[in-house]
Amino acid sequence: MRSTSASCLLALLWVACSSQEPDALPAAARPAQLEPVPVDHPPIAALPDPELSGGHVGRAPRRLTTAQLKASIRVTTGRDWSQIDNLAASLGRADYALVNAEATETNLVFAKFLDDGAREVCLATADADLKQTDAALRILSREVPANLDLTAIDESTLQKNLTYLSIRFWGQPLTGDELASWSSTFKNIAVRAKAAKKPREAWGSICVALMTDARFVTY
Amino acid sequence: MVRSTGWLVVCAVGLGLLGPLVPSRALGQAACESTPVPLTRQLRQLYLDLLARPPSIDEYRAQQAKGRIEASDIRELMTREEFYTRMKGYHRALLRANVSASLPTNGDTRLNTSADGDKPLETRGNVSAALRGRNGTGCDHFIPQDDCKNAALQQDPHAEGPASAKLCRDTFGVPLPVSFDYDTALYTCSALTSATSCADAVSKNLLEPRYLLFCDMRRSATGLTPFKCLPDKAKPTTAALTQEELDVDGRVTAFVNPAPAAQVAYSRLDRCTLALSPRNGVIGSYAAPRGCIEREGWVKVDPPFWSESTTQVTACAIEAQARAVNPATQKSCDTNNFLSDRSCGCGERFRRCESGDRTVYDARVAAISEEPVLITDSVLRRDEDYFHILTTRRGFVNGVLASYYRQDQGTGVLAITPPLAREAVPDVPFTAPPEQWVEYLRGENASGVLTTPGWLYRFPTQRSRVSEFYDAFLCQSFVPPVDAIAPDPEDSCNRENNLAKRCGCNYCHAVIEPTGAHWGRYGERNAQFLDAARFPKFDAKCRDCALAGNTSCDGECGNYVMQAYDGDGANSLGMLKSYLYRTPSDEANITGGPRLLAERMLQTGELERCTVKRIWQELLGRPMATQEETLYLQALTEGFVDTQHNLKRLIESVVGTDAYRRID
Repeated sequence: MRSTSASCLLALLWVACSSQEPDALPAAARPAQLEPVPVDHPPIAALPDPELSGGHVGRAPRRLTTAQLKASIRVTTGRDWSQIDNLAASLGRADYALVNAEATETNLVFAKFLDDGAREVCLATADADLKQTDAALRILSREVPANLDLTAIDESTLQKNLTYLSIRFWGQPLTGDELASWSSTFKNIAVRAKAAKKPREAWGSICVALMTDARFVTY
Repeated sequence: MVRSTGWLVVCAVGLGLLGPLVPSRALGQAACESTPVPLTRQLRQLYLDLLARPPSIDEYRAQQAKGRIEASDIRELMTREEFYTRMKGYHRALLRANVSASLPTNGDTRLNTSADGDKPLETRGNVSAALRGRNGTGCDHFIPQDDCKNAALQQDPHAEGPASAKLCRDTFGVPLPVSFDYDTALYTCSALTSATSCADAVSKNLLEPRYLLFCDMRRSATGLTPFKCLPDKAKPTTAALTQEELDVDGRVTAFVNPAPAAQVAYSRLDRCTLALSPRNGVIGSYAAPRGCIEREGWVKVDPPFWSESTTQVTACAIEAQARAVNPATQKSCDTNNFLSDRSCGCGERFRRCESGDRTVYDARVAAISEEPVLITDSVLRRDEDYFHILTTRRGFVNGVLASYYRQDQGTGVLAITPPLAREAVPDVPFTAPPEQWVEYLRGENASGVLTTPGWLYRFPTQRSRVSEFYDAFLCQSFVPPVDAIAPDPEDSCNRENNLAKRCGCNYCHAVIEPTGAHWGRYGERNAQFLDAARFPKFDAKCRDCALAGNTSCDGECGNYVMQAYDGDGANSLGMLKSYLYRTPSDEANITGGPRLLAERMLQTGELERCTVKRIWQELLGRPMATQEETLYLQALTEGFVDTQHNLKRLIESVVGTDAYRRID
């Protein structure tokens, strides 16, 4: 695969850089040509050469700022992480008096504190969901019938709920193998949660996993 | 065309999507036309960038149902309150709008209360030494000032004389001491616990009669207890005071050094009384005798300005005064020295002082920091020309700022010239909610955020103001060119005082100094506007003081050149400091102020280009690369100009670029 890509690259570069007139070559030896864009073609917005643009042609993915994180937790779980303001400086918030730039490094300190925060809000949200009989008002198990045995959720419902959650938390639906993998993970957790008689930990754990995923803390 | 095709090829390689045999039309569409991120992900990106939050599940679903994000959707987002809050955050960062580490904080002006007696409001800072004889000392919490002749309240009747002879106030009404204690910094005081008074201690042979006047009654949890106080023998300053001076009754009235040496601090310590002596012989100024703590009593007055109560409060009689000037010397009380002048006090409703719990100080820090952000917000909400943030006269006050300006508060801590005549500033009570802001039109000299106290305190010198202006609004910083040559240390040009000319320094200061002159009519390390009527370009009095060697001119010429280090300096004595080393063309900058600077920079186009770059960086998370500048900068800048510098339209343009819709 790598050698194929390299060959393609070389061919492309040859096409782009060669000064030889292609029509002068025999048809069999002539490489595929890139024909000029016709005059009536809609305008093409050229993108810069990534090598001349610091390796970028688009947005740089970045970590949420502390304010965005706080709002994201509130929007996705409906509740606040109680410690976020106390930890804001450690999470990177700038005060513009002594610290002039917001830090958005995804370092271990951030990961540790976010893990704590996710546990706090996710378990509280899962707790509240268990008490909520109106599915439309639930946060984590909106697509799952009320009072249903956690281990008895059918695959279709489970995947539907996981897809809903992934859009809610990340703005991206889980699909394919990854969806199946998350579904399998939930089933394992559900069995343990049922055995431990801690039902909140089933969807609560999924919530923690969603919230500590890179797709939640970056955009 | 060949170049364009080359671009397309590189795009395809960069994305790793296509081989070399793909027809050009497909290449253009698949690789180099915008390949947007999925809808929900793009929505999340837009919401986080514009509203600082992700979409709710309902918003995701609504957009999914719609199938695409249109320009009208983006415009709608920019009408929401969350967008304005988000942009306030952007401008807070741009302006570094936080003066918490920039404002002076003077705890001496804070009024504290204690738990004993009538709990009067009192200052207990360093200035207590001038008022009461020792740092950290408040007034007498148990004796009402104007009841000082009440014999039942006398603390030291054996030393004070008859209560009826006491003076509660001097002829000007300035409160006099009502009780005293010996200062334990100079005296060793031992409790005479078996006695109820000093006279009782003498009668019980606990105290030698000759030391009666060196006995004082001290307050403790159980009431008043007599103490015998003698000069501290453990301290070199007082150990030498071995000789006793006696009065006609054989009581010691002073301890004297029998052989005072030139270096000895004290040659005598007199007994304490309630009498004060003029400080340095100046009538109207008072000093407590050495070794004595002399306390005035308390009075009832109207509550402080930060209190919502209407009930009178107790306060120390000195702090409770509200004089504008010292009645004897006619010196103003609205100067830094008001607290050490016994006749001044904190002013009406304690306007010159603060609450002891820092809430007033913190509220001022917050209000001063917020005002420039509100100015930017008001420009954005009105869809005005973005650069009005640099030139508008619009200002904002909440209760904290309004009462500061109107009541001339914060003497000795903050130095801010009111943006208007005090009475013309909107009247908002201090106790109004801090988020209740009132818009008003500032004076002629006001120029957007550049003349707000927040900006002036945050960037306290003319040079730092220039540096921040260049950084924030022109995207330029002052660094010497790479081929800059540092002069030889022996080079005579190192002795040039004008940094705009000094070799090595002039790489940057040739621009910084004349540009800084735009803030020439604003003080440094304060937020005072040096109005030409009050601070003329040349002041003969200051020049005469300078020539006479009185370089402070009794504190009246702090803004003028009073010392000369070269010929230019000698020719500038008595000139406003801003004019030192300035050429005639620079002087126009002083007159024009920051607004002239903004207007000039607008003509260069640099303000627009920098704003485009900053918005790009804010939304794309990285600076615009050199090649991107070729592709986008000119077009975005022209669009920004065409929309009369409408920031929302610029944001709309940036989020509409192909670059924004990709993530790499």
